[in-house]
Amino acid sequence: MFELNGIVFAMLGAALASGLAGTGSAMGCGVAGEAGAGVIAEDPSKFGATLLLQALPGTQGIYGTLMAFLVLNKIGAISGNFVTIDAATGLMLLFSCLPIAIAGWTSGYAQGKTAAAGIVMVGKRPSEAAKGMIYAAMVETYAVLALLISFLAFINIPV
Amino acid sequence: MSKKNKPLDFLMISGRIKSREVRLVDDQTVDKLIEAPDWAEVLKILAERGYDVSGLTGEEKNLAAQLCERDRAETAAVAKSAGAGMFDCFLYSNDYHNLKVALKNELLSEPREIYMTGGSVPVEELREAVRTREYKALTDLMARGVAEALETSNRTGNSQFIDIVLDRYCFRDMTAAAEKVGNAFLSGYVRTLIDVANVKALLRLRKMGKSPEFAALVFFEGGNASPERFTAAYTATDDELPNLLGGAADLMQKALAELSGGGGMSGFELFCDNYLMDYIKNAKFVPYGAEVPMAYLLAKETEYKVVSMIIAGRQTGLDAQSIKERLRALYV
Repeated sequence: MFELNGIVFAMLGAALASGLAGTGSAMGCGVAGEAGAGVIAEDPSKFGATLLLQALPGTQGIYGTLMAFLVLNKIGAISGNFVTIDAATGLMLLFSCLPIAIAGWTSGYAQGKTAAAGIVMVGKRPSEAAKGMIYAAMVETYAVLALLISFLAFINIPV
Repeated sequence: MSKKNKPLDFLMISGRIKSREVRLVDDQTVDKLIEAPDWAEVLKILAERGYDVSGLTGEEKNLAAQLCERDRAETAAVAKSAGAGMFDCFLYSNDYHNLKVALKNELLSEPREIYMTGGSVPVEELREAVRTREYKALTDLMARGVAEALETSNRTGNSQFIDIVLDRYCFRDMTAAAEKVGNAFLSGYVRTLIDVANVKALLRLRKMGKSPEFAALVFFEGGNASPERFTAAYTATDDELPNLLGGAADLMQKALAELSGGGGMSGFELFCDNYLMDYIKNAKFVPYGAEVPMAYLLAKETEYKVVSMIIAGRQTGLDAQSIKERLRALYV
């Protein structure tokens, strides 16, 4: 029972990494997409620039999924051959997932709002699309840092 | 509308509106319109700015009205997509104008057909409501305003009270509508509008030599300074006046400076419109939110005034400088 708890914690970490970061991305892409639809309704020629901006908040979901995949692979969930880990190891895996889970969730949403503002700006000033992307990309920094910490925390956990 | 709206509720409409803002008439377009060699060029420039000029030659006497009416209908349709009832606040001034016309026509031997479209209540329904005294088509405040205007006008024998009472109810309706929407920009706009109306009233009534008792009946509630403040300040000197008006002090100071600058009442009217536009321009830096469609609607109304003035100026043969002097500040 005690050994099984380790797997449960690890699975919870993978679920949070993928679920929360994915939620942030979904919300961010949704927010940016709404603004994009408004711009395209008036000027379909701006689809390219608005699509790039809308895609930016999608990366957090990818980072979360990547982290979840690493954890699931480590505990043997993908192959079906679960390893036996104690609760402390399971908790370490869970905590290693939290940076990208939390930062992915919040930064995805924040980046979506920044991207939406950039998309609205493209509606008015199409030549400034690159600047809108830079503003949105700044938010990405913290998702990348969170992924880095999650990875560093995860990589040497003995299983 | 029970729930307060959040900026994210206006993402799509903000995207649409910001895309449309590039077509708003700006100062360069104004210069081109004034200096255009013929009507064909004027229509071409306006078409580039999104106006529907189909079937127009430029020789029509009501050219400006036709152009603006067509564009207003399209603008209203776009704004409506932001949500039902969001912008009723801006329609009430047309409704109350129509109520005044309908009530005053009852006192005239030859009724005047100067009703305005673009209100929240269709003109025919509004006329019928006044004629039958069945106010179901009107808002509660409109119904109460009509009843009070009739009672006051009959009691005093002075039809001027129709204007005074209905203006008061118009501002009450606008304030209530702004509160329902729950947007600080809109509430601030209505307060500024009421301040401007009160400052205009105070300076005009003083010029006309009206008594403080009469002035007290005219000032409206709901602005940044209460009607009591305006009443108390009515007999003050120009130097003292701004300091007595609390939230409307800055406006009064600028208005007095404008009047003493020699622009006369027409210059003062221009200043008042530009003061409101300065407030509206705060929305230019809001990426998304209710402010975006609101400011666009107000910007469009100013644009219609400017386009109408340019066309009227050209039709009457005014020189470019005279036309420019009459123009309001634009949003872009």
